[in-house]
Amino acid sequence: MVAERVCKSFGSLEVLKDVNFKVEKGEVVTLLGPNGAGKSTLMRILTGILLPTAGAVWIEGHRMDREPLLAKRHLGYLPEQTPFYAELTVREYLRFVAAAKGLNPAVQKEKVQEVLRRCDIEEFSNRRMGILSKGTLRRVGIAQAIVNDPSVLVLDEPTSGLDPAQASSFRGLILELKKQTAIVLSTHLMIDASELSDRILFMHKGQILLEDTVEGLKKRFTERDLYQVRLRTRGDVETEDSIRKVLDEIEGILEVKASPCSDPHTWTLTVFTQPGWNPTGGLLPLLTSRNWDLLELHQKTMDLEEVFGEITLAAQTRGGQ
Amino acid sequence: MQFFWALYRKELRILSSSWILYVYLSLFLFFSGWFYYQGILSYSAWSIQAPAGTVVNVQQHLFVPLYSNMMFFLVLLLPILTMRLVAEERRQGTYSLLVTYPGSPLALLGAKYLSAFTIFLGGLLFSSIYPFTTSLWGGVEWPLLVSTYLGILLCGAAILAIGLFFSTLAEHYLVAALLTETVSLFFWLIGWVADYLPDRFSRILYGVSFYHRLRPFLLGVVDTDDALYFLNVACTLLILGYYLIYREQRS
Repeated sequence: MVAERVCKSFGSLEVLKDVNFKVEKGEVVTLLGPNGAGKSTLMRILTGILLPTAGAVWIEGHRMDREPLLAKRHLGYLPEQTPFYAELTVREYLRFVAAAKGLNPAVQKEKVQEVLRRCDIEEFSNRRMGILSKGTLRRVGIAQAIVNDPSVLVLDEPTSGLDPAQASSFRGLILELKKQTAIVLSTHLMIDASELSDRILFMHKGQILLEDTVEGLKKRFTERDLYQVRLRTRGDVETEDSIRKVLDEIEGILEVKASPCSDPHTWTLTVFTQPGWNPTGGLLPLLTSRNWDLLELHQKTMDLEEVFGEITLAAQTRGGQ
Repeated sequence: MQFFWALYRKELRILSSSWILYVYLSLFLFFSGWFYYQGILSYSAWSIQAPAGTVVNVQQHLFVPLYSNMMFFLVLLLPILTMRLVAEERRQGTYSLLVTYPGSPLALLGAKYLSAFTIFLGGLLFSSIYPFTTSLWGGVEWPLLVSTYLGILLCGAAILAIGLFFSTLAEHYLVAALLTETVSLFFWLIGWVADYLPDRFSRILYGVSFYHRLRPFLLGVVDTDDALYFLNVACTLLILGYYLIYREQRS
């Protein structure tokens, strides 16, 4: 799948600006970004629900706006909420989707049986969709998306609303599908993004701000070390600003975020430092001299969620400026 | 075409397992049966009052009132068949998924339209029991009935197209039903208003009135002008429905 200079405007509102990316077979690309970044609009354009104002989407060499039927033959889509027909059984529904997606009638029955097995929903095949649990419906949703062996799978919040066990097994299924498909994923769950993605596209205000692997992104944002500190003062500093001012004087400390705990004079601090900073060098002597108690100190590794927060903050600051 | 037939079968399956089909058929058969019963009573009264040796025309005194009443009732009932076709798919979110399948908007609308038309046709087939029953004691002119059924099919086709258009336009199926009902009734009743208007206005209103376009068919006159009028309404509304989908994609 190729998205080439995709732009979308609703009236005077520009929602997507010059979005370019490519997804190859065997690859999972995740769209990340805050609400309103344009992810949903991009997903709707990738699946042909909307057409771009400018630019194009190509699937297997077919341009979505010019050869929609050929492009859509190679597409599988799982929306955020699994839509269903309450009156149909799972098997009837999948037979309908297989036929609607243009599968040869001779192989439809066999194909439906295969996806029922693959998505582990054989036991529900003769039940009406209206009575299925959310987890089972999600599996039916992915079954309808893959019944035509698509080259491109577009998954919108694939594990939303699932319990941890279901979400984990669902991620396993997606990783298995990745072997023969190009997958584009949109999610708010960092666990999905970090476990499934080969590449992450970070979107902000309708543009792709960053494109990198999960590891690459973490690396970019771990040019600083991060420490979690909890300490008890003697009442000599009372505000977050004043405690920050005291700690800012220590060499190697770049930024301090302080918040009071429920215990009196106790603070939780998030301390960003230069790489390789040693707490025994400046922090411990300060604590001794002020007679403060150190209750907790540990170095944290930045997870994708924190990286996401950092990028969003950086983007917003840049946007504000 | 595979998309078209798959969607057509799905629509029939859903219609047949929902309350819509049963409500539609029960109401249609109950009221058409009642109209037939009333028609027989009136016909008997006419026959008794007629001079000895005169045969009262069955088509004129039984079938014309029966089928014009039946069609009026269909104007009220047909919106039930079309109201959910697109509006409900939108409400449930299945519509967004449907448009990602390899089918054109025309196939989508066509399949939905044909499914509603099939149910309508099925109901009409049930109603053929009335002329068959009547034919047991004689006097049925079959060519006139063919023309009657053709007129009802064409008028129904126009109303179903109006219904599908409003189902594509409205967010909720009840709104779609209400709009279809209002517009169809307007086109049915407008001819009655025309009776009280000057000639040049009344001619225009008679021209667009569903009832006045249907009446010649009930009397056995197949006028291509009337047939084309109904087909024109159906095609225009289907094209407008297609345009709504097309515009939505490019919005």
